[in-house]
Amino acid sequence: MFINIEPMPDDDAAASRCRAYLKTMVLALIALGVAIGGLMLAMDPYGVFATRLVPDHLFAPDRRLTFGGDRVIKAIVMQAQNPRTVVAGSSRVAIGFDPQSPALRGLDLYNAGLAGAAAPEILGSARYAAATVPALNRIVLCLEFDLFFQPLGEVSDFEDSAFAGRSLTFGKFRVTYALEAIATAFRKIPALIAGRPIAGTLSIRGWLIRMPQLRPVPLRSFFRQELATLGVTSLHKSARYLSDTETRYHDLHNTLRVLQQRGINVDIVLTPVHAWRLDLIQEFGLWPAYEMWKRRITTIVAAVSSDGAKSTLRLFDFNVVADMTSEAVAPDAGSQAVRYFHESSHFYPIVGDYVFKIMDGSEPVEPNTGFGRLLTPDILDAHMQLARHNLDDWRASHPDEVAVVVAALPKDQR
Amino acid sequence: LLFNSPVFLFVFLPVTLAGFLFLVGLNRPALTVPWLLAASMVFYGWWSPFFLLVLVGSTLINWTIADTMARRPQQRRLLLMAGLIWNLGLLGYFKYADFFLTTVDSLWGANFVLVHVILPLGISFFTFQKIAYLVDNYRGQARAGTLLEFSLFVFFFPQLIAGPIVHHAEIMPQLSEMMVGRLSTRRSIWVNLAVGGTLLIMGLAKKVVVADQLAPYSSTVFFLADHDTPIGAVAAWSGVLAFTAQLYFDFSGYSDMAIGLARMFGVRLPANFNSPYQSLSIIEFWRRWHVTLSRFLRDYLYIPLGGNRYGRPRQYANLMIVMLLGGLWHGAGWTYVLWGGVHGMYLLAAHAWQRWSPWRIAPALGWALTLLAVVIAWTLFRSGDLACAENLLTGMAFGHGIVTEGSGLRPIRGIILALLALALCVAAPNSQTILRSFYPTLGPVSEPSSPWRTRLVWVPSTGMALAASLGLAAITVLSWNSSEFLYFQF
Repeated sequence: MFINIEPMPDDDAAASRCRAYLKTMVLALIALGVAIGGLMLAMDPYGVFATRLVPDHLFAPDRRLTFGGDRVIKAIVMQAQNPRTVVAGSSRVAIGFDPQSPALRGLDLYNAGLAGAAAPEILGSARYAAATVPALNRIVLCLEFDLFFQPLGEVSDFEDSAFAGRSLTFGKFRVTYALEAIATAFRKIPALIAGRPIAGTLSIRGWLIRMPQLRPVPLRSFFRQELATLGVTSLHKSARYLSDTETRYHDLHNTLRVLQQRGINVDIVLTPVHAWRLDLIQEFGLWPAYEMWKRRITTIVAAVSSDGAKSTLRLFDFNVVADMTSEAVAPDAGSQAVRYFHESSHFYPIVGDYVFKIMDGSEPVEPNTGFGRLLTPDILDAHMQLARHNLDDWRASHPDEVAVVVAALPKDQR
Repeated sequence: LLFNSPVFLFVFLPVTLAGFLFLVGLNRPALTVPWLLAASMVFYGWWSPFFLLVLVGSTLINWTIADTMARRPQQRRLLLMAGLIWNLGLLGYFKYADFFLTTVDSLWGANFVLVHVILPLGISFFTFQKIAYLVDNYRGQARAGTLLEFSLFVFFFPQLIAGPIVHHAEIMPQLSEMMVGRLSTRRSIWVNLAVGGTLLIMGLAKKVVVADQLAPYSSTVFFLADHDTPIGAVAAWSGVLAFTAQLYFDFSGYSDMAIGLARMFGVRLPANFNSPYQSLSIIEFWRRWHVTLSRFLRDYLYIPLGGNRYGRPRQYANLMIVMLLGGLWHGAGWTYVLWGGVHGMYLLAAHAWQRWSPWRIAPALGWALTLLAVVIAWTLFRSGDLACAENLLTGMAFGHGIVTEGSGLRPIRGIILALLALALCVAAPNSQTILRSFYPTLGPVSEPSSPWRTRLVWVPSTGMALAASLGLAAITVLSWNSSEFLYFQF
């Protein structure tokens, strides 16, 4: 049914009412902006303004309230912290390296791990650190095969961050009006009024203290689920971009040269993952591409190193089957049963500490597995053969776990 | 440029609007059309300068064909064929080439190399608009406008990417009025800004405050289903209901934004949604959902096929063809075709019931059945493949138990939020009804079906201004991570 409506007369009265409406709207919006901005400065949920009015015993000054907005925030905080060492990478880094752990405390380390970061983001954050952090003398670049070839994420705040060239002022404005922080700050107000302390999710040094979700039990089922979804998806995406890998290698080469020219020592870490993930690459038929990836990075590192380098450039391979990375995930494992890995992708700081100990020589490289081996072109073939052999051994000795990995594959790839 | 991106809201729109108002203020209305055309080209070229050239080329070709038709009427059939081949060929290449090759491959193992072309934004929408223009010129039902008017008709940024699918007879006369200063007077500017701005905020709120918040609940469930995790009943219903609400709020929100943006420049667009989830039958649903698409399919496909003029069997066959092609228009995949086919079956059943059944369905039952049918069909629409759809439909029928084992899903919250959003769709009046005193869209506005819905009427008051600013603040804080509109892929 339709009705005829008399139009609002196009007269001065209507125009004047609409004009007043627009004026009120704009003024109210400004007032709201000021109110929200005031709350955010008082709570300083990201710890970027140093204006927090909450007493330290209720909200520790070295903690952040939320884990969102990491691209924008980490660019701001990294510069403010002026660390000597930066570790860059994905969420594996964010979770796996605690700058305040006893093993790493002396390094004056900032954790620049960005959840889901592809190579352009990791390399961009490294270049940004080299250009803007005066005390910096070492960068640890953690690279991963399954993220290396992917472009920027569809939903990422990277392009709004100083890593991508945006101003820090813009970043601060953006985080002042970020919903996650506003909502969390609001939610915490009753606790603060009642005098109850609130816990942060991230340390101001960039370490993700608590994962966003708990691990449901049985743990093997959780591992399988993560592998079947995120693991498979990331390899699917990587496979899509394998036809055009030169851009990424070129970007890596250029970044390493820039870092070298600035006299910054660089350690590239091929990040540890659980054996399930390595087996997934194999089952996916991407093992040749994976080995080629290691080979190309080794070649690039060797080329840049021989190019009149002013600082050290090293490449370490932790992306192999080893004691830590082949930790068993029993069918009936409870939530505390696995010590080194949250799931097949993310490792805990106990592994991160061990990685640094091997790089810095306080722990030996595992000769039987090559875990933490310094890669150079002359040992590469032997190392990769050992890695293949160890994966085959693991497969032969863990048929039940291999069956789980195979079950995680899409039907047409089993 | 996304309508909810800060660059659009805080740079592109203010600059475009300021330039437009400046020209109106200078009393140079003839320049407003070229100004809006230039701005619209920047809007499209922001995404891809290459595809801007493609669209410019296609616009020139279409206008030349229409212009030649007017000058050489004896060749108009040939010219129409050429225009249709050009437009459908472009759409076919960019949108359906890989789909066609994949289908041939799977049927005959031909092993074709896929072309992997990028789909130009909005191609499905502007292709239809240009086809309608050519067909109506061929029929002698259209006035061949100037190149400038035709170009802005195609490029006008509020409707360029995802509709409404506007008709030349609705827009080009308004552009002629704009050129001579009759569309935006000094008085009407304030009304247009207030009404258009309010619609824009309402659309943004639908998209950012509702649709984007539901998206994680639907996408997680469909993602797991796509990866062979047997989905339990609670999660399946959570995902599908969340998608049902998300799609409506996303697409109708986009349409509100488009209508509001156009109105800010004094142009009125047709309504695209009319509370479809309040429909009491599937026939009514298709009169209320994506109205401008249904209108196009009716006028340029269903009626030329014969419509209902050649008896019931032919009418039903025509309906099915229209729904199958309508499904394919939504996406190059068999799930979309199947979705269209399922809706075709629904329509046939509804027509048959109306004709032959002695009973009439009670309104409440009709509404419930219609919504259930629509929800089930959305499962096909959103699924990546048939296996995913089967997984979810089995789950919805309790075939995989109640909970989804080992997934870490928390579907109860998803169900609650989806039901709240759907309740809003069912109970509240839609945006054009709320703004009905100010003629927000072209054509009549339907009367709210229950008296209490009529109470919510927008007037330019202080209270409404405060509500709008609150909405805008919520949108700003929620929209830092711009996500793409669902219909951009179509």
